[in-house]
Amino acid sequence: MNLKNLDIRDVFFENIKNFFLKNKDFYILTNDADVFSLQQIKNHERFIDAGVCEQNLINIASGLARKNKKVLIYGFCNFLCHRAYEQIKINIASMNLPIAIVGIGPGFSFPYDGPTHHGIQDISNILTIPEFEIYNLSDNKFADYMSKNIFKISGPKYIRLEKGVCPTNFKKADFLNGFEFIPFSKKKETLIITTGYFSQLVEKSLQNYKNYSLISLLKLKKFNKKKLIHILRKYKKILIYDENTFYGGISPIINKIIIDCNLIGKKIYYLTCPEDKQIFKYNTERSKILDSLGIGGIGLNKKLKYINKS
Amino acid sequence: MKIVDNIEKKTKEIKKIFLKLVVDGSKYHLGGSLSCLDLIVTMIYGNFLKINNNNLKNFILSKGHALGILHSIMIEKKIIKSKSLFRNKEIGNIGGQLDIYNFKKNFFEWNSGSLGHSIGISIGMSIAEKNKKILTLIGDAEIDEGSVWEGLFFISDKKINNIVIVIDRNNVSASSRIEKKKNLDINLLKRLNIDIKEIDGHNIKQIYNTFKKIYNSKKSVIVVANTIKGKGIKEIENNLKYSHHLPKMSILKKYL
Repeated sequence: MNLKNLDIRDVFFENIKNFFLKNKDFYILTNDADVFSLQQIKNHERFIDAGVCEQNLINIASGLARKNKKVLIYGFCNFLCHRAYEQIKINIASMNLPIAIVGIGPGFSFPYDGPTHHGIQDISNILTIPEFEIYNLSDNKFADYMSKNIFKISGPKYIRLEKGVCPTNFKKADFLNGFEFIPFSKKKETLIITTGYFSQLVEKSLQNYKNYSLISLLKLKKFNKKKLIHILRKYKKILIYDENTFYGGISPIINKIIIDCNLIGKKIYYLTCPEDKQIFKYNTERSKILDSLGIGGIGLNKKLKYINKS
Repeated sequence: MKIVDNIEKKTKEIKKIFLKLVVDGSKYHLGGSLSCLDLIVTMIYGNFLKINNNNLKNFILSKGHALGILHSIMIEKKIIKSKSLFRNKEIGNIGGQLDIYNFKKNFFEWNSGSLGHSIGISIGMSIAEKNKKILTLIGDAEIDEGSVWEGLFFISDKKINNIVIVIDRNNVSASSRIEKKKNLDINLLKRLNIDIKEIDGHNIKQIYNTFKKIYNSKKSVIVVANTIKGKGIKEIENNLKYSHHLPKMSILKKYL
């Protein structure tokens, strides 16, 4: 598979389909969500479209997994994580079942569909369930790696899956660390911490400005904290840049590390999705929504100018 | 029938064990447990459910607050001693809802306590094990949960044929009488592609014979079992007060 020109969803689900066709104990479940790569297997008896009823979907998946079946669920991240939260917490997590939930539509990746579809708080829901690991996939190579190794990882998993053609920067060592570290600048001045689509956005928006380094979180829980702290200690200024809201995304994760490791002397800045009220913004282009919220490329450049002056 | 006589004997024994646990200080939901005691005892001692290596398989007690009946059966079957049960309660491993993961003896296959989940879980299990019956016991009040209906429609639409749903129809929720609820109208359930049986949930012979027929059925079945909350303790029967509260121990001691 040539990973460079494919939509990340095709990379991911093509591997899943191949695994499905070879493995008689593997079930795929969805809440009426359509994925191009899986169309060929939609009528297979192990492909269960439960319809638009997420609670039942999670319950069925749990029953299958309890009987030692391998189970992958996919659907819009919001409907899975919010509508069926109790079922996820009690039936998947407390039973510690090795189910993979694949959330499509993270962030503002479906910009025209409004707050019902904007996935800007799903992370926080799953973050509060101890048994779950969260993976944020916005790199085609990472999507390829995860989809080939998904059932080698024990326990419940929540996988956020971007859309569109994504970069191919991922290295296996990054998976072990749980994050990518790109030291664009030798100066240990500003470190940007982000995740998912915003990692791409940082690189695109700051092409002419390399006076920073970047950490992109791939795993949101079991990453190599020791290594991350080691890097954090070197930088004077840290910007947490997130498409999700402050409480809905990675900010609390990083804040906890900063407090736990007594890094309070650092200058910490945030550029996250506003959360003073729900966002009723619709646009066919994601970048326009992000710019209107002040968190797109323009907002990032402004923030960095401000950080440099301070 | 010898087996029915034996089950009747066991219901009395299990009831005594259960009441003894309560009198000795174990807090259970008395009313909702006693309403389904005869049903659970018949399922297990009538050999409709198998216990292999101390594991009760293919059964989900959706109304997890009736866990005291399962604990009492474990004691009767010498899977656990009541001393050990109390020790586990003391250290916080066992509480008021069924929870298997803090409890070293994994007698149960599923956690429960949140209502309305078990039908969907049964569907998953029934798809995984098509040649086995998956049985779930649910309370009548939990039929208000949307997920119950999501599950029922799925069973009906996809013609899932190996699930048995027993509804403990005691007509009382945690705080109200619910006998007039529309969603419990049998005619409504009859519109689904699922067999419906209505029985007296305290008549052992009827329960046993119904289960015998169901286990040969080629369709999923809903058994509406008409029961009495607090059955067998006259002072608390059908009394809303005893959903959560316990009566004076002197009352219970009379029945030991």
